[in-house]
Amino acid sequence: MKKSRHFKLSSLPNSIYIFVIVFVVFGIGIDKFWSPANLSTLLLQASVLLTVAMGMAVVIMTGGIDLSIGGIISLSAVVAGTILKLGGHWILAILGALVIGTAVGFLNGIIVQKMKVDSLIATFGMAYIAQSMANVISAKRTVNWEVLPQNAMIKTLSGDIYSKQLGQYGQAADVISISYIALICVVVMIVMNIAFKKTRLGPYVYAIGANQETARLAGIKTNTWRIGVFMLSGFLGSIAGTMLLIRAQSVQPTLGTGMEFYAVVAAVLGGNALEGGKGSVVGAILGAFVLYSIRSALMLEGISTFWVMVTIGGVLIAGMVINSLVYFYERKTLLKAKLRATESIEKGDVR
Amino acid sequence: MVKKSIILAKLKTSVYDLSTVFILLAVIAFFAVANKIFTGYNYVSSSNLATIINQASFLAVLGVAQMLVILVGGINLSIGSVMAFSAILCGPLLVESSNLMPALGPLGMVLIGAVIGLLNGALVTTLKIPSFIATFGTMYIFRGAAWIIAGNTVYFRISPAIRFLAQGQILSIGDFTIGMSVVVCIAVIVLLTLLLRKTTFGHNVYFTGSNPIAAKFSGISVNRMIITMFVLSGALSGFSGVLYTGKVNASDASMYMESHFDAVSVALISGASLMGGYGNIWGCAIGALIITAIKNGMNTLQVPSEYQTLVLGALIILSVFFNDKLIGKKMGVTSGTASDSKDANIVAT
Repeated sequence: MKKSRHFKLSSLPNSIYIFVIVFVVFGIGIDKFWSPANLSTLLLQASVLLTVAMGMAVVIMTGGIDLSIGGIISLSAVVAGTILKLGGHWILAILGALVIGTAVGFLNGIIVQKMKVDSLIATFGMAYIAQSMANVISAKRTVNWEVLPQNAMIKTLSGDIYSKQLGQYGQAADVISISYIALICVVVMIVMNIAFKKTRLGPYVYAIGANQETARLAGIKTNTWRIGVFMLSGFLGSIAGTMLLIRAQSVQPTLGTGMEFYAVVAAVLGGNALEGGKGSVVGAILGAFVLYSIRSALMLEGISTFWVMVTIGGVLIAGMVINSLVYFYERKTLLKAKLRATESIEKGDVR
Repeated sequence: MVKKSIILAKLKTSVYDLSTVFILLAVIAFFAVANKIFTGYNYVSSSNLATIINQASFLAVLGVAQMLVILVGGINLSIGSVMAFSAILCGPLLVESSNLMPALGPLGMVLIGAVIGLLNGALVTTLKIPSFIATFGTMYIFRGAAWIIAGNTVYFRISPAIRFLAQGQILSIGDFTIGMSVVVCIAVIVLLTLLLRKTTFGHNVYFTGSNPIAAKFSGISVNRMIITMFVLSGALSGFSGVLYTGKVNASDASMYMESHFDAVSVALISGASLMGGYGNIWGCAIGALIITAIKNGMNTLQVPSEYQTLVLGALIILSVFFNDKLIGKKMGVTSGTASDSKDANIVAT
């Protein structure tokens, strides 16, 4: 059996503290927060953000950022919606969304790696372009489609895969339900985590994020991997777009607006430093959960969305402060340990 | 021979500095010709040019507010929220019916902006939060706070003095009308250019932006530089709020939600480097003019508005791409570009 490594606070995903705090405080303070129905709804609502936050986390770990996620969500959903509107098969629509999202991601990667434009600017510009294309394709109108046999599956997917009444009949809080969307999201989460932990993706991403030049000299094809990472982010963005399409059964051309910022916030709360080379996919997942638990809890209490905004801003900054505090604490203990070691060497009791 | 090459080199650098001006001229020339051919509208008529200049002046002030922070390697997403928050807090002072001095409201807004800037600066320097995240947090906090404080209140009928500041006309030669906002914008740009180019403080700011570690070791208080720039940026955001309030003749909590996009776009097109230490304040005026000229030109060509953002996005990417190339050439770097300087530094050292 492998011996467990020395436990270090900073090796935990940073969002875990704030996640635990939020869950415990809300769980005690708010009546229905822990109810199965609320938790199912929470997972359903968070699934879109969870999906994009994972892509964002990987991009941030390579030292980049992807602000075009919002545009990609809008564009891919509009493309899928338009295919459905034209009477296309549902598989074709979803494939279309995935292809267009990945293609935009590829373009991002090319601009960042080949044209050497900073990723913040490249994806910022790409967000404009993708959103504009979504507006052009949909003529700025909501895309609707008739329910036909070949796209009935889209309707089915919006429902629950499993729903069970717990406890007394008639109490809405006791319904546990797992929707198809949440299931897709869970599958994506598991696949991403396995891919990140078990394949070359994880180590390479860390290496590129820490220092791209060193990574290149060490034989990592940095261009291919960074372009690939942007494609991954675009791919996950288009999955999120499809989820939104399925959930609403129609597409508004601006449905992705602002999502990129939420994703960045979730990823950063999860301890992904914007300089790259640090962080985890799990952290981003917890970060996304934190954001949605705050929203859900404040909504349950009937507090207005304005306060939700203020709270999210406050939690973001508080999370960053906790991150820095943990970092300082770790460094202090490390320094102390080093100091003790040198002192003992000076005293002469070297073992 | 040597002298000639020096002059040539100097000429080359000044040409590189003027690259945004060339883009502006190219944009204007393109739309002039396109309008002549397709619609017959006179794009370069004095009245249309005056419209572009007047519209661009507000955008330029906003871009300067962003540029100040970009110079020290940061980014400020909270500009629009500062505008809304200060305009709501000072709302009662801004309206016509207020019995107090009309200067009190704008002064208060600038002060509130400066305080929020101080908060941003403190978060970025002492707590070491990346500016992107810190200002994103304050953007949310103060936008939300503005909504909470305002409720359903909208302050309208703004006092004439503030309206004059934003939309008053002071000079007209034929069709060519210059508004007060242009004068204000020029005053802001001249003042800040003098501050950044002619004083020791300004040199220290550029030094801090281009290499914070070297600046620290040469005795510059890097943190104080960054905080000062955030305070200046916040104050200028408050001032943009005054201009905006005067422009639309109302102050409400949801004013100008897309401001952070606009401000970043202007600063990027004007040739600033997000790595810090590179950019001209007057470039913001040119950047704002480019954006306004394109929007105006596409409107006159009757291109649907959906395409405007497409062109804007492509323009941002391309202008940064070419600017980086030019900066690289100017600095004498043959391989690699400015945005790659993190890696370039490592290779060089």
